[in-house]
Amino acid sequence: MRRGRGVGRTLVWAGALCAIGACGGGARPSPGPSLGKATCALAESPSTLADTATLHFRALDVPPATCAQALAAEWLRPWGTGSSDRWAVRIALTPTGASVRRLDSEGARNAVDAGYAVLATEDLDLVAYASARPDLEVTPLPWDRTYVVLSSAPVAALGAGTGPDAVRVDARAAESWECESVRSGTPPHAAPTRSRRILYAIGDRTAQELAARIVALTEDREVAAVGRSASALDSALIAGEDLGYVISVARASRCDAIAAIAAKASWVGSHSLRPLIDTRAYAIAPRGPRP
Amino acid sequence: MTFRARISIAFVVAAIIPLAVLAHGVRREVTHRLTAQHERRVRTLVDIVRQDLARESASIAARLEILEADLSSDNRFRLGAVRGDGAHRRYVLDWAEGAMEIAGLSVLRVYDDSGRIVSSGHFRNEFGRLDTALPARIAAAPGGQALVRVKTVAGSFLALARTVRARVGGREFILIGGTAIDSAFFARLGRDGELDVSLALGTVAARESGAVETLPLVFVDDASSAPTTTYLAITQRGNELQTLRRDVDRWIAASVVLAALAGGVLIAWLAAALSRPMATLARAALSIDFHTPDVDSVSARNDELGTLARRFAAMTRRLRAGAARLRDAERRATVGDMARQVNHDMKNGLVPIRNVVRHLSQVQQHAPGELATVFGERRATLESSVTYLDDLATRWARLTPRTERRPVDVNAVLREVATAARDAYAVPLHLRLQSDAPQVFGDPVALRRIFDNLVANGVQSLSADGGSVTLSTDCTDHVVRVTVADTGRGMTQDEVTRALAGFYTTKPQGTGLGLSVVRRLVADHGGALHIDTAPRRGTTAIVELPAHPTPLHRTRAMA
Repeated sequence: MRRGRGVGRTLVWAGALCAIGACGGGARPSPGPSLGKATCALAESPSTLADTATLHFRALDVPPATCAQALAAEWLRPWGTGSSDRWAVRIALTPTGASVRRLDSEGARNAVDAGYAVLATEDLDLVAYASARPDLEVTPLPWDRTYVVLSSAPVAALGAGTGPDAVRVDARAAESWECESVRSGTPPHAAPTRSRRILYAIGDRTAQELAARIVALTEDREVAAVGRSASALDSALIAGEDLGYVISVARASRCDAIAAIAAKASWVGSHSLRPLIDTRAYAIAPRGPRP
Repeated sequence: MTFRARISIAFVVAAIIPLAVLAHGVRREVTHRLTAQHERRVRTLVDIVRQDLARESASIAARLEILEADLSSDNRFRLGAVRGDGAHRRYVLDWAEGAMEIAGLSVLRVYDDSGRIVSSGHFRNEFGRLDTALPARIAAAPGGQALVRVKTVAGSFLALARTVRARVGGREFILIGGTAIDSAFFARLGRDGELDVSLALGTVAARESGAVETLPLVFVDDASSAPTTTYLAITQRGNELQTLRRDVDRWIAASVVLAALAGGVLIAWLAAALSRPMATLARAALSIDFHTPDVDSVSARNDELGTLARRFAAMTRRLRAGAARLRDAERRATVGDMARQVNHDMKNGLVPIRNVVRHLSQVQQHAPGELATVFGERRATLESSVTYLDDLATRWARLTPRTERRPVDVNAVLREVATAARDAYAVPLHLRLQSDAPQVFGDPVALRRIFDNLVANGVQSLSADGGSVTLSTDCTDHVVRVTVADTGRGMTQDEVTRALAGFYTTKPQGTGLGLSVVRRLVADHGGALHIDTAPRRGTTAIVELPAHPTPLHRTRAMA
């Protein structure tokens, strides 16, 4: 599967689509800068298979490995394979970029044990394990993903109290933001909620934990968190008949992503959006000069 | 009743009824024993379930005790939960999940002293939720255990829960742990496979569940509602006892039906083997006479019926042969009887003639001149005797001496008899005839034979010392009674009986047919013969003949 093509502002659009599982056809444009002043120019959209992906980029002023780790965390997280393991990838540099392989929990630790692997992960246990190794350098990557809850129901408190403690990744409370591209006020076609479900994408454990936290804080005993495939979640989100939807968007292009969702789901607006947390991954690499 | 019906009744009495009684007894005994065994087994199983439940509760308590000990000495938990060290907050939140998995529990919560959930194993993200009621309600429940509804991310489930208190860093924490009450739990309790364990919420549900036993449990549905009582309902799976009873009934019914069918087949076979040949034999017996052939239809059988048929056929052959011999003997006897009757009648008819001839010879020898006169006097006797013999000869010529009936004056016949007797026998013979005696409808020759025989018997019974014979008549309106009385030697009753039967005589030249012929001829005329006799007291023979209603007689009768 190829993900993305093109450049500039359309990057945000593609990120939004992927957040709701609609990025299967490869509609992502070329990336923009996401490492501050450091420049990692993604030559083309990452192409992913079941457990592998290929990144084509140019690293300016930063080591290619650092650039590869940041791009992998930003573009390949969450992977969405349905595995219960936390996101962790092993990166092998190529002349034009990097080859990325998804690792399960044991494979990631084996790679850490090998001592020479370049990894990126959101598994805090793996990060702790790697930090104990003096030959490995562990550095946090930028806050690159934001989780929000969308709901058409007039549940003002939905998501309240859902903070970083609810997830087992490095997270912080999301800052509230205003998006000019997202309509404000009550939308004219708010769909009536018919189910008591909080939906999330299967394979996104962080979203699952946030949904569980919402359920835990809801007094309604009938409310339950239910995982859906990316396509099913996309359809359900457009229909808007469930109590809530926990999704993640690229933090750098979150407004465009929400706007893209609102373009498909007419009930989505600023009133139906509650930012929950920002998350980030960690880079693990051997100490010493980077390639 | 037919032979088939008898066989059927015999089969029912000899087989079906005993079998039914046996089946009833077996069923009753089996049912009684099965019921007793089953009830004992169910009671035992219920006790086992109760013990398993107690063991499960004790196991939960034991595991919670271990966790409490572990928690009390857990420094990271102390730092995170008591000291509020943010670096260990995630450890506190995740503690219950790991502890629950290690302890093999389905539910584990850690509450702080304010009733707020600090850590949850089954639902990690319910931390911080305030729930002060549940620990207290579980602790207050009988046995310190309660059935609770536990919320999870995907819904809720029921768990058997207990509590334990733990002190960490001077603060008190409450651990709630339990085992899920699900199908696997019920399957474990009903491990025998004979019992089903289920939940019945409320007394009514427990009563309507058809349970053999119910075990009460306190049920805490949620924090907002008061505890209620729920029941573990223990029911019999598939009701094995009823299944056993049904199987026994089915086998018994099958046995009875099979026996009935076998009996039906047996009856049909017996009917074919016995009843039908016997019916054939009976039909053959109806058609058998001395002219039809033997019955050979069943004689080919090799069993008792075949033997019976063959012997039956042999019997018919013997009977037919015997009958042929009997017919021949009868023919011979008839011929002899006829000869003797002819002889007897001829002798009776010849006696007057011989006496007249002897008288005429004596007259010719001693007084020839009076021969013509005497002949003239005795001519009537000769002609009467000749006529009588001629009639007899004519009738005997037809083999059967038929009677030719007409109105007859009995007195006239008696006078002829008396005349002939006086000519024939030299004995006193008296006539006492009623002058207006009515006629009888009869054969004069036969009537003469009757009275000739009686007079001859009377004369011949007289002794040499004398005696007499008296003929008399008297009559009523419908009967003419003729009495022939002698003063002879008389007869015993046995002699009378044998004389009436025929061929019995006490006379040297007698045929023994006199009285038997008289009886037959009187009977032919519709009359009756009475013999009044005794040894040495003479004999009185009374012949009663129905009177013929002549106009004169009718007029007199009317008057």
